[in-house]
Amino acid sequence: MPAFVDDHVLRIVIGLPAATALLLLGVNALVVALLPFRGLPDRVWGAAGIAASGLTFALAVRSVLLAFDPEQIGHQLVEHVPWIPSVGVSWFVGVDGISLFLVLLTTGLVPLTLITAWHQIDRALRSFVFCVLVLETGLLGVFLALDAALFFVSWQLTLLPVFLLIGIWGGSRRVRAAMRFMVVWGLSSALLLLALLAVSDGGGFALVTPPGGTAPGLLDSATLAGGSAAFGFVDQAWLFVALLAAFGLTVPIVPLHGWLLDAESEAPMAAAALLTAVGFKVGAYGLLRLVLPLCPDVVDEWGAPLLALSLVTIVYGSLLAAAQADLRRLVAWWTVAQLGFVLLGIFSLQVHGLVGVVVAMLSHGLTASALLVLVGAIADRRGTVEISAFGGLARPMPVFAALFGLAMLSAMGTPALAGFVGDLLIVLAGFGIAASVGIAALVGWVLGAATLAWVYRRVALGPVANPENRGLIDLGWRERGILLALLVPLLWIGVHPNPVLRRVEPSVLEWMRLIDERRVEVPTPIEGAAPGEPMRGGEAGGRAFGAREASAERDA
Amino acid sequence: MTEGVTDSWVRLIPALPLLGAVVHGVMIGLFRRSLSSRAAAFVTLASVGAAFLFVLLTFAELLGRPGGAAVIDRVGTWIGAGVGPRALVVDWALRFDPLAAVMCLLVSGGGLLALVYAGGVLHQDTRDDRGEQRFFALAGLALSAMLLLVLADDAVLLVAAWSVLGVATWWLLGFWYGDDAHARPAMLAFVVGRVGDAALLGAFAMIFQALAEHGGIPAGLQGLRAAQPVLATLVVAWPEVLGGGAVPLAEVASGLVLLAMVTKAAQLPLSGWLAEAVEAPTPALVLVHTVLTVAAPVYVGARLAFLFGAAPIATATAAWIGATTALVGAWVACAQVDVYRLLAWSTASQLGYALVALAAAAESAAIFQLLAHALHKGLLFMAMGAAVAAIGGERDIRLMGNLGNRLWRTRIDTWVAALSIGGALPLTAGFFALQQVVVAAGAGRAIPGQAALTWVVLLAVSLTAFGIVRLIHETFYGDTRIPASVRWEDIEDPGRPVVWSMGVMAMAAVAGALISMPQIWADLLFTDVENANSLRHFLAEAPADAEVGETAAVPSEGVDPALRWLLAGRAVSMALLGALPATWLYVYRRSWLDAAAGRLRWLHRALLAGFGLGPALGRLVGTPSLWLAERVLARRVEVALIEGVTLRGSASAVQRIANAWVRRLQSGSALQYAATAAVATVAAILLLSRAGRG
Repeated sequence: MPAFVDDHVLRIVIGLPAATALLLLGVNALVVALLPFRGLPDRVWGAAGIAASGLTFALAVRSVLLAFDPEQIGHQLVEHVPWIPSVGVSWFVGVDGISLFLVLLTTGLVPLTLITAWHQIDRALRSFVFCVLVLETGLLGVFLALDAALFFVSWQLTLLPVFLLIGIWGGSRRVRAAMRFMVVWGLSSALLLLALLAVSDGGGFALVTPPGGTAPGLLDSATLAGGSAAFGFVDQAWLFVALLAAFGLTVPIVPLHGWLLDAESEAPMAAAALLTAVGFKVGAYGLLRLVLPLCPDVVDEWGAPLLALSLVTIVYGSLLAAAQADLRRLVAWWTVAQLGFVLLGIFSLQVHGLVGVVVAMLSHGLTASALLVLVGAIADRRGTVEISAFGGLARPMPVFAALFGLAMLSAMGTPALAGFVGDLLIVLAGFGIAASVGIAALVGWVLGAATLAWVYRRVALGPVANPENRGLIDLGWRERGILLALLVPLLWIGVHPNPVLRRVEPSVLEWMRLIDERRVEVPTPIEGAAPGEPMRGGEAGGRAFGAREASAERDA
Repeated sequence: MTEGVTDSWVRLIPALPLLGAVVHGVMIGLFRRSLSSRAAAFVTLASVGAAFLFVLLTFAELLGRPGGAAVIDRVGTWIGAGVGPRALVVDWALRFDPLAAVMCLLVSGGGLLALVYAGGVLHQDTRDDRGEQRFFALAGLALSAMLLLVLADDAVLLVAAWSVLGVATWWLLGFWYGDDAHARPAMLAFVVGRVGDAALLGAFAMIFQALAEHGGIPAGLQGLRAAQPVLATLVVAWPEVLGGGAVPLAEVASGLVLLAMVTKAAQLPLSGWLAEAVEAPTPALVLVHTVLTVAAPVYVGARLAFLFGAAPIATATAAWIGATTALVGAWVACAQVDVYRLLAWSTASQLGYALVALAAAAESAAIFQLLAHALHKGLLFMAMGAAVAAIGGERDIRLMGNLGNRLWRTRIDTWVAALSIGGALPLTAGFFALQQVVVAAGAGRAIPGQAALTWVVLLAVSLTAFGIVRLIHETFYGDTRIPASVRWEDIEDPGRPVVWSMGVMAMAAVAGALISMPQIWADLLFTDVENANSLRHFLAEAPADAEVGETAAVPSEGVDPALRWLLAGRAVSMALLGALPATWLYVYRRSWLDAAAGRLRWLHRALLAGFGLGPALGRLVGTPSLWLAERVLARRVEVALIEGVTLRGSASAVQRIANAWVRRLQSGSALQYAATAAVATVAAILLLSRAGRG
């Protein structure tokens, strides 16, 4: 591989999908103009899309994952090029342990999405491919951006493809779902823009200090030296409200989750996996990346309601999942519950919790995709996703039942599958705050498992009551291959999560150091906590440890 | 701790059965290629047999080590997160110490016998949803999880194995998935078990959190055990809404562990699932009821005895739950007509004894009770399986009778099991296990209401003896009541693998008496035997005990011999008091029993339904939650929240304006979409830069 690629790997990874899309568009235009065709055949679009996204994934593995040094602190493979110098916008990207696995998840899922779409999308496949590739670039931009403006532009870039994916190829109520999505995300974008402008205050948009940069990054403590008054509690609070609304709208925090259910159950089957797995999680990523370091004191001060919100989301999502009549809404509600776990981990502000968040996002992405591919497989065969239409599928479709069972077990957080690792770390962080928080999370864990087991029994076990299910054909090799590509990593991470944890944890520690440095109020040291009150003492203790560990890390 | 070559054998013990299971699982789950039943059985038998061999080898190694130093195998780190005192490092760490050794022998040996038995009976099954290979895959997975559970030297690894065991139990009990009557109770078993998983995880999480604030989370279970003096002093704050204050951490953690034990061991009030989930292949029941699911909680109780030592309230609760379950289970079993349900209630009852022994700080008695129970319950399930198969698959005890004339080998094995479970004659393992349980209950660690507790246990002994006489009489003696479709001449003892596995179990049930004989009985039966209770001495040998020192001094040994004889005599007489009248009634006064059942019809019906404990589980928890979810949350809260407040106002307005616009967009032309996307992006950038300048 030429050195050029290694030196500019992130911009290639980010740009390759969209560049391919634009190239295809150009060729398409030429073909229309010069040849007597109506454009490139759909198959060419599909094949080119699969090839480009496959190449992106290969590049992400080879030049990002393998080049990533777990020992190095801070962002790696950093690229910093002035873009619009007049306003301080630069092409500033870099990868750390937190974004690394989200990038791998995204790049890995897109080829699978396109392979599925090849067979499932029956009209305008070329536009579908175009949308998915643009979406991929947008998502990768969000995960890798170290410049607030770039973050926002990437965020915007994801908007339109999703809107179109839902609005064009969606289910029967696709228009409503697409509109709801647009309203929510438009609102969220406006708030995000306002918040980012307020933070930047005309002083550039770099989040961390760029290499050799003159101006310090927005999140660096150096910014506070002169203007810490600008980030007093009240300012943080305003910022927090705006950002929480911006990101919280896009992460389905109860009670703001309505649009997600529509979007998720109306989105085309082929794209739903990508949207659920990655698209609807960028909000959580934003909370982790921007809200925690920008408003640490508010997260501390308002910890109780935020944690309560997360717990309500877990339990509410698990309960509502049980009330659903169709499998796609079940997956949607399970996603709500799972994002409750993610929020709990984020707001716990503990090392375990934040590491668990990354693992949970990764495992949720893979599991949700597997579940949606499976649901898509039976929807293809039966034309419905109603739970009551099925029953006893293990008889006609044993391979489906086996893999569906494995995916369900992963969704339940069964040990030896990745879900357990994330849930375990987040639950431990919950116990680190207060025993009641941990126990509430465990209650949600049990409720979710009970719901999924119950649904699995109604779909796959029991007698084949409906004669239409009798002759169903089992999963083909393409479907088996896609599912293995999703389930084997889940097993791998579940059995041997250390390669993931080892890369995530230093970045989490570094991020926590950043967060702690930006606190206006000094956290209570652990020695000050009375041994008789582990409730609040534990919380403060957990955070103090974070600070102390991080500073030890820095000194080393 | 030195590590020899043999240390790395330990990992093979759980890995080998898993390997067999994975081979089967990949073949049938992904490729739909089934081996012949013989080959499938061979793969699993070979893998479990090899594991058994390694258990024996490691056992020999353990015996040869000075001072009983455990064989320790640290494979690597599983999960590591956090730094400083809150660092959590979960190792794939296995520890073959005396307790693990006994459990490994039991699990791999008992599992092997059950698998031989399975090889002998599974192919007779004629259902559509049978599949020997699937059974062997699941059995291998379950055995592997159980072996990992007993070998795990880390709390989180223990929880993980416990949870995987719950999943394997679900699949084993719901093996015949094609029928809701089978799939439903198995799922209930899983959900109840999942509550236990959460409780166990919660207990350890609380301990970790407390210890992190006091020096750091120790490595492994042995580290927790060494931290027992610290644990015993810690408290957790009680939530303010519930009155505030502080409770000892040991009590809360022990309470959670107890909840986990209650779920898996089918103790009251969560007993129902075990009796409901008998619609499974007999080999699956043999596994679940002997060495797997129900054995796990007793092992965990013995392993975490150091926790219960500092928790008097949890201990007393455990004792009373165990004793009550022993009594109620034995009583309900007396009325059952479905032989498998009868045996399931008896399992709950027998595990109640083990729980009493654990609460009385007599861990070795609990483990021995578990071992004896595995032998006699395995025998009973196999024998009853033979009887059921003989009359064409009917499990109704009222359709049997006088089968002993045709099934004479099975009858002998059943007699051995009956002597063991009945506890009246000093011949079998079960007798001596029961003796130790009764002595522990009467003279072990002090428990509130100890005298009453002892009498509850003794009453359970009596009812158990009554029940076993009833079972033997109704199946093998009396008048035959077999269905008309079955020809008397066709009834035959089962085939060779079954008879052999039953024979080995029966011999083990007799020979097992020798490994844990209370000293008083050894003095009575033999002359000059020192340390007759070799199991207890072996289990107490673990070097870590010396520091903690609560199992080292097993209380029942120091008990006054007169008291011991008093309790032993009471146990024997209560057993006889159940067995002799039962024999007389069933042989000579059958009509009295029928009349009594008719007179007390309400009671009989309640007993027959197991006091409705099985369905109640679903009704009390499942139905209200579903009602809450469907009727309240989905139909009211959700509608009000989403449709009314959040979105309807804004969305419907935008929707009306934009409807036409979106429709126009759907022209299918990529160019148009691309142009729109590009324009929007450029617009965003422009907006941003302008705003930034301002």
